[in-house]
Parts: sequence; structure tokens; C-alpha cells
Amino acid sequence: MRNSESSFVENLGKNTLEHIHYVNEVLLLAFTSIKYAFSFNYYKNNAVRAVVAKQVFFTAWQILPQFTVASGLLSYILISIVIATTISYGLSEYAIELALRILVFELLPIMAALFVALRSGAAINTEIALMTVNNEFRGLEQTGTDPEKLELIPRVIGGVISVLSISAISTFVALFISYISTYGFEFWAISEFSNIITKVFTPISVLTLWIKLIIFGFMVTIIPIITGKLSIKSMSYVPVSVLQGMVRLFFTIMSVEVVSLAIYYI
Amino acid sequence: MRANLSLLENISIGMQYRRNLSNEVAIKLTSCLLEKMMMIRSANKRVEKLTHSEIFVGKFFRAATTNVENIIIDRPALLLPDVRYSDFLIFMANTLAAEPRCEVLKKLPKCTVIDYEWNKSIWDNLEIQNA
Repeated sequence: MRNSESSFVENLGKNTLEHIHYVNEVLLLAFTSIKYAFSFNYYKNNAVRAVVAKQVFFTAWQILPQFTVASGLLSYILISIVIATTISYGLSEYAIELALRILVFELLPIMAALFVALRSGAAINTEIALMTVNNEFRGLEQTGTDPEKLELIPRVIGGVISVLSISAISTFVALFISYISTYGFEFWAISEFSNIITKVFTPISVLTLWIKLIIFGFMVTIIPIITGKLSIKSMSYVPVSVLQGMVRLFFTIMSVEVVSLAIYYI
Repeated sequence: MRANLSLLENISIGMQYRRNLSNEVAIKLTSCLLEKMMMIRSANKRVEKLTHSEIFVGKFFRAATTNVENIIIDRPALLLPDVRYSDFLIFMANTLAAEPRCEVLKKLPKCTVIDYEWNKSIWDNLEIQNA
């Protein structure tokens, strides 16, 4: 009994310390990325720019057509449901406002984050885990190359840019679809629509949205990176590392969403 | 070697970062090295499509272009399991030393090969030119 109790306590302590170490590494990389993201000199290096550009290309540009179609479809279905429901309750004047609040502030950001996570997060986790197993980081350090500045931070910056850009595009698509669904292909209601947009997109709500998107952008790259870096140095452990990374990422995205809802609405 | 980069990119990316070279210049400098080793056709292949010799050459050039003084090749049989590694290493040394040398590798690093005692006879009586 004493042995099982002490091993339970030992395991609890060990797991707690591992989690603290993990969160520490995530925050450290986040702060370092922010520091270099706003440093103009950092982007003067051609190799750094190339890594950022590649990350944005593979994460955002390549999935843009599919994501635009998917978000357009979701927007159309949701807006139709909201319009039909509000009409049945005699609240049709609130239809667009309600649809836009749900779509632009909640659903589309989460959809963008999950798309990027599935598209690039798993790939980044795998790549970094393989680099850890193959001692690539040590190899880069020994050849005078800072692996964090060349490989990790550009990926974080690319991830943030990707989440922001595909969210922006899906927002425009949602606005277009909401206008067409309500007023058709007529231009007489543009001023009325503009008033609704002004009411929905207040400075505080736009700022909150941007902060949430930036946090999503950081999380979809930093969590896979750190999970890969802290992976056990064994090829057979790489799939486990990727699984762990994706689960942690999912819970983090959900937590950020719940906290933002709580802050905004409570 | 990075799995999602080609042979050319694996060699050039570190050099491009350290010297802040443009993409075109880095590729030109690296291509010279692969042309010398007659591996230019594999330049755009990713790691999974490369032979062991090509992977070895990629790792070697990645280290050699950092101006290190000495490169240690530890147990070459593990790195080059599909060729006569002693002949391959001597061929590589003679090829890189022959004129005209590539701009990025004008000064060749010293290479130390560590091998098992029972393989000593493989390294006896080998002629290295332009050492």
C-alpha cells in the first residue's frame, strides 16, 4: 500500500513538473517570437524570409480555395438558419447582426485555427520531432546556426500570418453571403448593411477578435513545435508526440475560445 | 537531413542563413558542389528518394560549408552501407581537391575517418592526391 501511494505521489510530482516545464517552454518561445516578430533586422536575413514565406504558402495559400468554399458554405447554411429562426420569432431585424456575431467572432476563427492546426500543426510537430530524434538542432548549433531563429520563430510568425489572413478572407466571404442572403444582388441596402456592420464591429470587439486570432496563430504553431522538441529521442515515439501535440492543441484552442466567450459575454 | 527539403536546400539553407545570401546565390554555390560530385540530377529530390551516398554528401557539404577545420567521419560503413566506402571517400576527396574548386569550398577541411581496428586493411595502400 505504501509503495503504491508513494509511486502515485511520485508520478503526480513528475507529471506536474513536466507540465510546468512544457508551459514554460511554450511561453518562452511565444515571448521570443513576439520579440523577433517586431524586429525589422530579423527579416533582413534571406533565409528567415524564405522560411516565413514557405510557411505562409503551405499553411494559408495552398488551402485557401478549399477553406474559402468550406467557410462560404458554413456561412450560407448558418445565415439561412438564423434568418429563418429569427423570422419565426418575429425578430428578423436582428438576423444579420446575430449571424455575423456568431460567424465572424466565434465560428470562423475556430474554423481557421483548426484548419491550420490540421494542415500544418501536425506536419510541424512531425518535422520538429524528427529533427529532435536526428539531433538536427545540435547539428545546426555546431555549424553556427541558431536553430530557433532559423527554423522555429519563422514558423510561428508564418502561422500567425496564416490564421489572420484566412480568417480575414472568410470574414469578407461571410459578409458578402450575409448581404446576398438578406437583400439579394441589389445595392439599395448597402447603407443599412453598413450600419449593422458598424454596430457589430465595434473597436473593442474587433480588438478582442484580433487578440484571439493572434493567440490562435501562436498556439497552432508553438504547441506542435514544443511537443516535437520535448519528444523522446526515438523514431517510434514520433507518432505519439504528434498525437500528444494535437490533443494539447485542441484543448488549448477550446480553452481560449471558452475564456474569450466568458470575458466578452460575462 | 531535413525530410521536407530537397538535397540542394538541405545544403544551402544553413549557408544562406549564416552569410545572408540570396536564394539564387546560395543555389548557385551549392549546385557547383553537387555538379562536382556528379549528383546534380538529385539536387531537387527529397531525402526519401536519395541514396545513402547522396545523403552522406549532403551532410558532408552542410558541415564543410561552415568553414570548420576538421570533419570527423565516424564509422563510414554506417553512413555508406551500399558502396565501398573507402573508395568513395577517396574519390570524394580527390574530386573536391581537383581544380577548379568550387568558390564555397576553396579551402578543404581536414577529414578524420574513425573506423574499427579490424577494417585497417581497407585503408592501407590508398593513394590520396592533392592532400
